[in-house]
Amino acid sequence: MHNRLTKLIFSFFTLLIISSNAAAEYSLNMTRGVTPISRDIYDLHMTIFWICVVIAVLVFSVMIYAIIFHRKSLGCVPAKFHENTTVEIIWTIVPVFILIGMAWPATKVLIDMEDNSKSDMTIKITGYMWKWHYDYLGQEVRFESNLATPMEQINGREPKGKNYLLEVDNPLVLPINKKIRFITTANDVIHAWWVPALGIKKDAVPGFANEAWAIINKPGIYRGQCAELCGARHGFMPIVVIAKSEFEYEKWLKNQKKK
Amino acid sequence: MSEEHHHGPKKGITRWLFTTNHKDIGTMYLWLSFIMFLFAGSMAMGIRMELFQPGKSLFEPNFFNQLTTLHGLIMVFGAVMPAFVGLANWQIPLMIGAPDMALPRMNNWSFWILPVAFSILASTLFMEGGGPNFGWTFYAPLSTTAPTTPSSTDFFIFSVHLMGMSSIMGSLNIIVTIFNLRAPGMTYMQMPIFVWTWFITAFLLVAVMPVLAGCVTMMLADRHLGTSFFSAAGGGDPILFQHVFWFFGHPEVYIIILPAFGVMSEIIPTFSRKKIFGYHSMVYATAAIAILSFTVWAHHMFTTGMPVIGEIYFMFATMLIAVPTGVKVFNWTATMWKGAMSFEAPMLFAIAFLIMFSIGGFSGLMLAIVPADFQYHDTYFVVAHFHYVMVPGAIFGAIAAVYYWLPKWSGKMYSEFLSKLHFWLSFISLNLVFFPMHFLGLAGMPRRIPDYALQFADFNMICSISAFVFGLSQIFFLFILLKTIYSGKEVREKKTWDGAEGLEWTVATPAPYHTFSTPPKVVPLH
Amino acid sequence: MIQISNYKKILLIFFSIIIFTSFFYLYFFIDLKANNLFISYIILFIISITGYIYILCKQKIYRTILLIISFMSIFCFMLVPIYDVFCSITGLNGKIDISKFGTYNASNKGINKSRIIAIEFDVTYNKNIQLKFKPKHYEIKLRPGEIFHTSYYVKNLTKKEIIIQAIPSIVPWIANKYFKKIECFCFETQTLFPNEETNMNLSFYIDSKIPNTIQRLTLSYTLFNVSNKTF
Repeated sequence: MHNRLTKLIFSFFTLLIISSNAAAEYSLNMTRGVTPISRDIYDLHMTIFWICVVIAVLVFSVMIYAIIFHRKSLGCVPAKFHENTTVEIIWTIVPVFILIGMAWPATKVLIDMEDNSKSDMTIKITGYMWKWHYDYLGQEVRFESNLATPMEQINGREPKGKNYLLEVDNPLVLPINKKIRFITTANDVIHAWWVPALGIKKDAVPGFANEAWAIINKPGIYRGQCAELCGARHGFMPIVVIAKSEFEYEKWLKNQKKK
Repeated sequence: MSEEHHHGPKKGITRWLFTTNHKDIGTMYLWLSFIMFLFAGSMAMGIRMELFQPGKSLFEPNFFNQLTTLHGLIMVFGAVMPAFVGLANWQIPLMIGAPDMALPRMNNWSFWILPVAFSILASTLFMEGGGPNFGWTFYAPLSTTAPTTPSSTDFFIFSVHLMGMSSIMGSLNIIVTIFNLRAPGMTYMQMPIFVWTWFITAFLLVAVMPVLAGCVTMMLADRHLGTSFFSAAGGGDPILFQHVFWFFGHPEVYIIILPAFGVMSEIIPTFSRKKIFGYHSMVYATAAIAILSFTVWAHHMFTTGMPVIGEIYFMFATMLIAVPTGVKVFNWTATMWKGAMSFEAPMLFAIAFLIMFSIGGFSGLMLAIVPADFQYHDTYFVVAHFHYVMVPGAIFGAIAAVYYWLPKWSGKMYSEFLSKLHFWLSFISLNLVFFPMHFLGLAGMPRRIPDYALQFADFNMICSISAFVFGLSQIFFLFILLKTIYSGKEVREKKTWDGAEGLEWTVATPAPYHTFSTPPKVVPLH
Repeated sequence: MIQISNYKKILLIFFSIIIFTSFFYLYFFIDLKANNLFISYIILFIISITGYIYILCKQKIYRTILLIISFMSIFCFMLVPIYDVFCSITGLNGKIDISKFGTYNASNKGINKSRIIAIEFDVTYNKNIQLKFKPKHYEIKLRPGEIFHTSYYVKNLTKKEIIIQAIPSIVPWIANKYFKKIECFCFETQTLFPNEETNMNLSFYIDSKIPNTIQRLTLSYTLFNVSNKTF
């Protein structure tokens, strides 16, 4: 009874894991995103994931084999061995090489990610309790971005909209195919600016400035949330980025400057 | 040496208030930890009730934050740590052939500080402004000088100081006991692995609890003495808080898991009827994990704007801890291999530990990869990771230990059927709670939010329902324990489990109030 | 009765006087700012307590514990100057610019004409500080080695006196080392009367040794209200 149940449960989880890649549309997996870095991150994530799956399958099959076949109830007599230096050295050294194999591509992506030079424009982002301020440095355009979901939806008095809790009154509008530098800081406590599609998550620390960059390759609307507990309405200060073509962006910017 | 007078323990409440007996104190720690486990568990039930559906259900967001904070604090400091200290108190003297702990009166005080500390912490919920609402990691300045920091924070700080004192005294006791009271013939390399893991854990505790104390004292100073440790205004840095906290915090999670590793190293050999594979490398691997745990703290801080060199170093160091941990998992597997296994309740929990803790370890390895961590950090992916290593890790370790040693402690056998039911209910429900959280995190759901966007609704509902089942299973566990203690089948064999080795299995069942008043003869096992 | 030699008795009396008078000192002179006399007295007080206990405790174990505790306490207090020395040697403390009052060092090989660095000036308000805070220049282009003078305009918009402090932060962080301030209002508290406005000067140059990977840096000031001294 034990081995069948265990096998059943195990196959369920294996299926779940394998199906995760295919089920990306059901939001089971990380987004591939729309920037070179977000795509690199996704590739790294999948690589590490599959390496872990392979190791897990190897190790767990040994365990499950032992559970099924090395039982007292089957009349097994326990073996006497309790050490084997060669094997122990092998299974200490081999994981080190696997880890080096994982760390090498990760380091490359990391160095790329942290190279904020040669940017085309800078956006200064300030986290407040509980909203974001955006400042297009050098353009004299600055505004607040608040959650736009009405309280009636939150309290359940109205049906919830499609972008429940992920909509704002003034989204951040950005051009595509330009290297955009983001500077994050905060007004009061630590917040974090996170847009999964851009592959950016940076803490916004009061009194300090942090840097991140992105080149958005596809126009569209990308949503994110605050990713550092900042008080009661931490879950109610989303981020909306609208990426427009250069021409549309210039039009929008000109409009903003008039206000 | 005259015969022990068989006067037995005192009767009534004074027995428990003034006891210096390691068995009594162990029992009190275990019951305290279970009560705290149920209390923190009810906080979790509150969280899952609020997260059952999108939209505001039962609680104001500020109260929800208090629930998450207290759930974390009480589970870590009130449920898991005291449970393992209770196991240490019961088992270490029995396993090394000592009559009691080396410092019995300090042992008593280490315990009795805790109910005071937790009463203070629980009472903050009823203070004006509410209880702590800044997460169990209480980052500054949210926990020091934010507009929403409650005034009860100072009581929280006091409570943390008290818990720290208790842990430090308890650890010193364990270290001194193991140094000095081993029976003749019980050399260091003959000690059971559980004793080794607690020995190393005790050093970790003594090293990092003072760091936590320093951290909360700096918080107190920032709040009331006009200092600015964590405020840029006076030349300080909120990130300093994170460095100091995580310098404590990372060894803390190893403090939580190492004793559970020790329990596994006792249970798996017993039920495989085979000696633990690679005793020496198990000891060295545990020591390596402990030493490495001091060098990786900033992997909790990758998004704070660390220099690239720092990120690269911490990534490598964190990945390195996978090596000794892997060695331990391989050794346990090799212990099972070609053994003659039987699957009583302790073994079921132990096998679940092996598989589930490894899954938690894999998600930990994924988190170590810095660029990927930028997408995982502060999402439910992290919640899934640490719940996998804590619940089927530490908690199952404690439950397995209780089922394993309860017959020796009480002379009563638990019902195998009921305990297996408890196991399957817990195992299935916990996987249904925490596995979907991996997907929630990957799909973009942040941590510590009382309400969420619609695409996260389905998985959250599954998590919530399964969480209620898991919670009920632990009430069921309480029922099993009480039933066993009061009306369980009596056992009198010294060696309750036929594959068991070790000095604790040479004393009578139930263990007499005073054991090893004369040192035993130690048969070398390794 | 403890047998103490006459010489030690005199020492004990001396120590007792110091410890006794310290209570009066604390009571009457608590408002005295820490100065050399005060610090010397405190050191004398600590030595007295230590000596007192040392003489009275004969057993080696108590004396050893006393020595260890004294050493630990002295080490803790010595950490303040030790940190200063450590930071100035390693240059790690990039935020608090030690060359704040430094002069332009002509031996920095003069102006590097081959490179241009863009510098952005930015402001952040902390909490709900009611001020107007604007840089005179928003973005400039500068060659390493060239001195630039700018200022920040600040106006108190409230009807109360306010004490402010501006904390700088430079991104990328690595540029901190190369951003040499000659005149700066960083970390200096400034008192502003109601509706008072002023210009705070900032003069700096970029060290010519700045790496080629940096072409743009942003200097962001966060303005804090430190009137109540609760930060």
